[in-house]
Amino acid sequence: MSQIYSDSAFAIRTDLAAVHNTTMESFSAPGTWFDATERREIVALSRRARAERGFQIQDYTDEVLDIDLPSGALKLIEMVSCEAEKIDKDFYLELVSNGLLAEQYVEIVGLVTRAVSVDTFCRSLGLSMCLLADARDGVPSKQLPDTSVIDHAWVPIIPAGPKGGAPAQALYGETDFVANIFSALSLVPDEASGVMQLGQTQYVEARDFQNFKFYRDENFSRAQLELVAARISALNNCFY
Amino acid sequence: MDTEVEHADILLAYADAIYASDGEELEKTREQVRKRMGSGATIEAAATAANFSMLDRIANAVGIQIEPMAIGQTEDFREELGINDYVSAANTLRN
Repeated sequence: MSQIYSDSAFAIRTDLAAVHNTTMESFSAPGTWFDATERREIVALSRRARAERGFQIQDYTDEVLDIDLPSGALKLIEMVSCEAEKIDKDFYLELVSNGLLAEQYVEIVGLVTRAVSVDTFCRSLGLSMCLLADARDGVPSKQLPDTSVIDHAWVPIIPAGPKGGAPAQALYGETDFVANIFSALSLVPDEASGVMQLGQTQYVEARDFQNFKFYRDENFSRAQLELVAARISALNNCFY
Repeated sequence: MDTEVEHADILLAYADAIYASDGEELEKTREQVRKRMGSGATIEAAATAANFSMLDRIANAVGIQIEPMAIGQTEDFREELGINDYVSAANTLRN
């Protein structure tokens, strides 16, 4: 896995390759509410759902093992993978009322969306899909942040600043403000952290968010970056 | 649409092709971006597409609210661009 993108015709930034490498490894490691086999299965099912709906994945390989997942997990995986724009609060409440834990919901959303991110990058550049590693031993940590509250999402989040206490400090550092999107998955801090790492490497680091002269490549300006971002968000019917 | 952004035509075509199922169109638009803007810019465009493929799904899946300051800043063009008609608008403005 350390050789990710080494055979690419594109000279991909080492920090970008590294964060994708870390992301792929995390799919086969024990998580917070799912073990490594279950997490690997969630990603494989997401890829299968997208492949079946015509979202092309270069050199697609089906890695589904057909293991059992909690009630509602399969529906959630399919919806987040292929029709996230149709998800509403009733959908979330129905899954949770039928036995899926809110924290399991969040971990699945994190796994699927991070997998979509890596796969979209590969597809965009014509790279083969990154295969999943074998599942590692270990058990889920099942650590629930004790300061999580319902605030700016359906799912509980850790608020930034003093209200968030030690979990906020561990996840966000010494800050009283975090963009809502980056606290969205904070009920499962490892997933939120994974999203933030990808976000800061693929998009803009937090310290440069208001820097409209920011660029990583001199031929790709911040305006061009935001244009692509806006178009992708429109294609995803994403209001946020 | 005139975006006043240099190379907007090929960047928008590339973004559209990333989300379409036509592999040849994707290859063609990627090559257009690479030839006109360079390999580094192509990689950054791909990374941007990857990032918002993730963030958009998260926002839609957990009903994240938009920050209050952004509601006023975007009011003038949301209606014009049809963004208020997205299903996720109801989630994002009020959950």
